[in-house]
Amino acid sequence: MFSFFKDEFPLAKSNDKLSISSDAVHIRALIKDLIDEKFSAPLKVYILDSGSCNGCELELQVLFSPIYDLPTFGVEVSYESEEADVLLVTGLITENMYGELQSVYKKLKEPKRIILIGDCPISAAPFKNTFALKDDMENFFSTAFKIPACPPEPLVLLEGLHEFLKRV
Amino acid sequence: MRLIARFAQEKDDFFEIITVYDKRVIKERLNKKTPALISIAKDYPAAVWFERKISDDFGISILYSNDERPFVKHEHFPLGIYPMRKGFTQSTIRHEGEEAIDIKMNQGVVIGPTHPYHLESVQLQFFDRKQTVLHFEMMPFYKYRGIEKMLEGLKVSEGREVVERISASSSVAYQMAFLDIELQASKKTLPDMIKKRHSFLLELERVINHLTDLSLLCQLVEFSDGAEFFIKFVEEGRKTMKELTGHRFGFSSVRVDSDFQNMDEAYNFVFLLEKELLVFRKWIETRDKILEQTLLLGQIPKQKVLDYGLVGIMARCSGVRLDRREEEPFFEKHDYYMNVEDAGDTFSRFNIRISEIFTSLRIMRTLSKNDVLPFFLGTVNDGEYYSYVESSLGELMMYIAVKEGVIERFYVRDPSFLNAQALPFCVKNSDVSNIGLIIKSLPLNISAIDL
Repeated sequence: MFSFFKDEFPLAKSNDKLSISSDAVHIRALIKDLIDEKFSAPLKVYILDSGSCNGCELELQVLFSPIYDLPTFGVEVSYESEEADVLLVTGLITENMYGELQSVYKKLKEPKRIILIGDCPISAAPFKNTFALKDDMENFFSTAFKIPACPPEPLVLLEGLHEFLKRV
Repeated sequence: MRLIARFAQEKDDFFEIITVYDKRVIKERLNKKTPALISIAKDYPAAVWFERKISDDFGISILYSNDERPFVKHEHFPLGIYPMRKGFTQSTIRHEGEEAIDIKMNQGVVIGPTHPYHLESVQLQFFDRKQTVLHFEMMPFYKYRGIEKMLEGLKVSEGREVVERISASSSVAYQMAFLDIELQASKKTLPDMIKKRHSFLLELERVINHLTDLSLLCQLVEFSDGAEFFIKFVEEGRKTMKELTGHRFGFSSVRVDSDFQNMDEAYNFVFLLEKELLVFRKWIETRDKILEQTLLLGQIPKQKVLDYGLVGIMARCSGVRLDRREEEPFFEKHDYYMNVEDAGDTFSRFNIRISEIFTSLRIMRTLSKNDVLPFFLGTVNDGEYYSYVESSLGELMMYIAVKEGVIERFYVRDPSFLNAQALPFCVKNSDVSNIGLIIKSLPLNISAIDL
């Protein structure tokens, strides 16, 4: 059906200028080594946006795109929370998303691992003074690994993921 | 007249309904005891979402409406709470009284709020027969953050940090609308030399967002080389934004007191993208399979665009000439012209993004660096201020009422709020397997709907 797309667009891969930093290449390889060592299969992550500005999602999207190519290095996005090894939470924890968060959390397999991505789920800054957030989330996330910044850049996300895997 | 927005605010003795059209603003007063508003949805179908929000926010009954379901309040949200009323001062939601229940389409398919069709959380419901979509609905406000209320009582300058983070991918456009209101309130005019700097960022933001959408569309039609080509330039665009502003999404970049340090890298980005995109466009013209998958898919006719007051590329793809930049002499001076298509389908939404990137790059080339002289915002005067900016998604409207030096009411109508209402028409009668492709072809930003 898609035979046309077997034709390669010559400029898709040709530009060396548009490549990732050597730091990112290095950390990505370390991530692959840790996943091979600690997991028998690719690490599956489930991404839950619980009230973000879309910045964190866009940065995560780049990680899973051909640029950073995380799937090749052992990290895959799962759309079934039951299958996920790690839950990535982005955004503020809103009242309206709390039900979804609970339901996804219940379905996670043991051990339930959570990474909080960005400042919003960690400290809610600068959205602290709003009624629309679920209060008392600290206990819920007491054991979660945190990758702060607003939003964390791809390299920061890679470094955070690497640090998380070291602790698993 | 085109409906731009409809919202409410509470005054001492009455509720005020403000309806913004392209030609005038109409204000109505409702008594506080039994507030009831006559729906305008019969003439302006897009008013339904505005009116459902007014009802949830203020507890105002909507008369003669064909849709009275809660909009902002999802499962377990107390129905008796009206958060935008002045009397609501709780710092958190107490769960007492009757609570909202999620409305599920009878025998329909309910997806989300978390699902692969969209990066952000939003629920989709549809009803199909033999894989053909008969009815489709989008349920936003899962990410309802109470931002309008949060800004009330703050000094205008204190609101900036929140406003620039409403939607990361439209941060520059939001900052420009906010600055425009600050300028109106302090009775100042921005010198062209600063306006050039801001417009460069706005066009860069537009380029990055269009490239992101093009990459996703290529991915969905399994054109991996196209996806890779576009996403590489997305990343390069974000690096350029960081080089210019210190932040990949341009947070805190629309300032009046600083200039770009070095624009060499930015111009390199502009020239390289222009050169390679020309090659891409030439290359894609000789192949027609992308056309086969997207032609006439998710089509929206011109009349529906006019009925719903759609904006941005949703309007321009169906032959409706609507772009706030056209009204600004500043853009005219800098080589702007409008790109318009007629078919209103997924293919034209793909094409127009490429054409608009060329337009933005041409504008950026004309906005050369110049030295910025010191400029200061003055004292903010009380009043009501409206601002309009053409973001990458379409016309963004912002309203701020200032009373005694602080924000009394903050309201934003993002282009997504109107354009999302086109989804049911775009998706209807298409194959279920094409839902994702159609959604991705629309310029939608859920974080900007779910204020």
